[in-house]
Amino acid sequence: MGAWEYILNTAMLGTDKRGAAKPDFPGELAEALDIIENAPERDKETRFLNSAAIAFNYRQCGFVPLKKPEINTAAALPETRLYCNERASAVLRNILEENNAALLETWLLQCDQHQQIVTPAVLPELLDKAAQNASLQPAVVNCSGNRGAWLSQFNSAWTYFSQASDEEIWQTGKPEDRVKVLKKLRQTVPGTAREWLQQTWDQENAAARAELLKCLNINAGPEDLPWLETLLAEKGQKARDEVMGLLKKIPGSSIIRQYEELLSQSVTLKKEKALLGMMNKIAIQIKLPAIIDESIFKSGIEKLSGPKSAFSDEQFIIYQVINFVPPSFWERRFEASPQQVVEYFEKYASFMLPALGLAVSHFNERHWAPYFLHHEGFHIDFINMLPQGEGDKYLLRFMRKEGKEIIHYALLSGNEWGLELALTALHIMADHPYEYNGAFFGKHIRLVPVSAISHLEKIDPKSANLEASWGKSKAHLLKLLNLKQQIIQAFNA
Amino acid sequence: MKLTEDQILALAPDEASKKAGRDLAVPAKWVSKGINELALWGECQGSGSKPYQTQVDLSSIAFKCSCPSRKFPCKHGLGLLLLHARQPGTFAVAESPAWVSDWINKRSEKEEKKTEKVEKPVDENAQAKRQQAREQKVAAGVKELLVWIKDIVRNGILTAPEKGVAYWENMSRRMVDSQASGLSAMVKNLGATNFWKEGWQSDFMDRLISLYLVAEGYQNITKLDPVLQEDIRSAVGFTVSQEELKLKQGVQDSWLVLGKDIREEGPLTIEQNWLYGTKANRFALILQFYARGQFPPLAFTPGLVLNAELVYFPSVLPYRAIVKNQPATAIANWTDLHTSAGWEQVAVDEAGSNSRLPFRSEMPIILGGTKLVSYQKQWWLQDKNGCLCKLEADPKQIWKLLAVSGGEALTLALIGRENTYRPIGLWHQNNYTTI
Repeated sequence: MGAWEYILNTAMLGTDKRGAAKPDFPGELAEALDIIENAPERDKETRFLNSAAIAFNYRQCGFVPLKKPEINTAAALPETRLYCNERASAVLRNILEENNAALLETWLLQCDQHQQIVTPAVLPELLDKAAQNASLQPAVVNCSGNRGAWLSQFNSAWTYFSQASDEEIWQTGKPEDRVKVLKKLRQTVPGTAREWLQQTWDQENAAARAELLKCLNINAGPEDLPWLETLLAEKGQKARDEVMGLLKKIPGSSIIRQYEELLSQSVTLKKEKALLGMMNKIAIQIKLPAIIDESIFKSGIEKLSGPKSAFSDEQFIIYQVINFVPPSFWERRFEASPQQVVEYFEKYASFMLPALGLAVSHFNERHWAPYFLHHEGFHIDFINMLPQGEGDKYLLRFMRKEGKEIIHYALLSGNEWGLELALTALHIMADHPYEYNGAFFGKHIRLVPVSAISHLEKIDPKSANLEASWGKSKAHLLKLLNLKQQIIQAFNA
Repeated sequence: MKLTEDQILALAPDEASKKAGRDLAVPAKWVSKGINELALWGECQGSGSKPYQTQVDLSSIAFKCSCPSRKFPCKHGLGLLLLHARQPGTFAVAESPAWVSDWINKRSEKEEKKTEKVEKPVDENAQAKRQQAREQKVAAGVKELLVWIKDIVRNGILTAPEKGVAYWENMSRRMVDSQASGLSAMVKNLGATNFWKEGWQSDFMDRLISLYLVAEGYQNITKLDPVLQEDIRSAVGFTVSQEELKLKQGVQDSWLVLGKDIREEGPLTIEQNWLYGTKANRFALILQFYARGQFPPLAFTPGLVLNAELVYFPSVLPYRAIVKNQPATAIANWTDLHTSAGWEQVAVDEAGSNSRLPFRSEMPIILGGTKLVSYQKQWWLQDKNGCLCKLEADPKQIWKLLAVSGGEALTLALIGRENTYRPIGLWHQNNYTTI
């Protein structure tokens, strides 16, 4: 026991109690303590306090640092990318302060595109943000450089930097990580992803099977058919539903062939000569065959249209089936171009046209989309199927009529809105400032172009009562747009 | 003097002001703005009909704004400085408008008047009587305090955590009644020991013994060295006339503001500013006391270098000081930065200081070639000889230090005692930044 420990022990019990035996103090200290102990004119409390003061100072003056030269931390590897400039760093700090994930993503994208990395001081905060928001992780890893990878080893929350291989994660990872790996693989080598799933299929439980099958929606193709067809006999309902959904997406699947067969029997393009052969009389005849394979109705096709439906039961069945047949079927069936097919439906079976539009979305047949743009029905998937300018025009046409409903769909756009679309949307939003508030703009700022800044001042609600609320939303939007502009300027200076 | 964004934000009174200041750092918010070598100014369109007139004295970083905010500096002052830091090109160099030059002139006049101020004649007899009466009161208070301390050690400190706030508050108030404000603060500090922390006993005893040393020292003050007497009197709560102090010869140097700590105590704001004399290689502590919500007499911005003459309070270990004249900002030069040779040298220096003044407060150190290493689930600071001292810091500070170092050695400004130190700032890429 050292001198200080002895003092602490005595202090704990109090000088009234008999303390532990005095240890052997070092020479110079023992001498001083002896003088104090042998001073009868002092009471025991004073003697203790005097001793404690000596031991306290002895401890303070005698501190010796621990010597451990063998402890070493390997330094981070030198960077291969340049650090972003001071301006970009300042903007990043402001974005982190604003806590806006959308702007942070935009910043990281710019940084990565310019082959740059963040300055070291901001790394901990950035790594924390990505730990909370997994969608930022790939960009953060790219923009953190070797310093970020080095730093991540010290904090268990930053393990997303770990270089575990996809195969390792697939074999031993957590269910959500396995799903991520399968999705990633499906984007680049869909066949390999399917093979991995086939290999582990027997070991997967029912819930995992359904979740993993969902990944096959990415780049689903005819190569998947042989295996998927065998899964139609799956015991689990959820997995079976997923298989059915997938088969309805892949042209050539048994179910689609069955649908095509039914449509071949039910929908006929009739061309007849009229007016002494001077004119062609064309009609689309729709009639279900007398006997329909009942298995069609087990694939999700409803038999009855319902009492309030404008369709007859027969029409309703055909409408549903058209949804799940590739539009190219009609090119063969009617021996006509896509444009002609759309025109035939428009003229002779207009009530079936929305179903054909849905089939275009369903099978992602982009070249069909332009023939639907002037029609009344709005197809949400067309927004991202059309070239950007065309997509904006399509949205604008409906937004001017239907306002908020279409804004809801415009938010799903993968690209930044054009200025005209943005201004139209903002004019509508100005009349609903409680819905389109600061938080809303914070979430969707990627869609609003920076060029809207100079127009914002003139955008006001129709009702004066809403001016104050819209003013707040507008101020926040302006702040976010300024930050967005600063990102662009900082990386393109 | 151009401040960095970090330095500007360090001036903000709170987080909300930082955020508001950032929002105002865009050209669109400013109706007019300009700069010259003395001042930076701008007119900001706020909610009022007239734009707010915001001005910054660049020679000593002082603010004035016509807005009604009670915060200091207000968001407009911060926003203007931030905008200048980000986009200096948008500020036209011009003659300052009347509202700016009036203020700048008044400031310099005020400063001149301060130096010319003639002291009123003092009634020395009355002063001596007051002094004697106070000495008696303090002596009585110290006697009572020593009895209280002895009671604690007689009964044992085992029950100290169970004693209520009133136990410590009562004695603290008794010391205020005895006109020993320093002892009162030390008693409060004793009661503020973190009793939940493992090993609180050592921390508690450190505080108790420091208190005892001051009290016992005061009882025997006539037997002590005259300079040490000053330390004891200062610790007890006797003040030194700052006007008299300013008449003494000071230390003229380029002082780096290493860091600051602000705390509220009752109606008072207490500001501790740690300064480092870059030429004389000396540290100084500038304390500022001002009413809550009011402006500090001088603005100390961490990271800024000030050309100033500092006068130390009399002490066997001169540390606390006052600024003799209005400081002017200067350009930092780190080529001759003196750093401690390593922890062993720090230990020798600390022993020297502790032997002279055992109840002293913590003083900063500057240590070069320092690496962060992990050992026994704890972060340590390793010097170039492989010696270790514990790093006591907020996790955020540790991550920042690690990120900036990348495993390489850093030059750090630290504060602490014995084998535990916390970081104040670091030198990185020829710049000093606070942690």
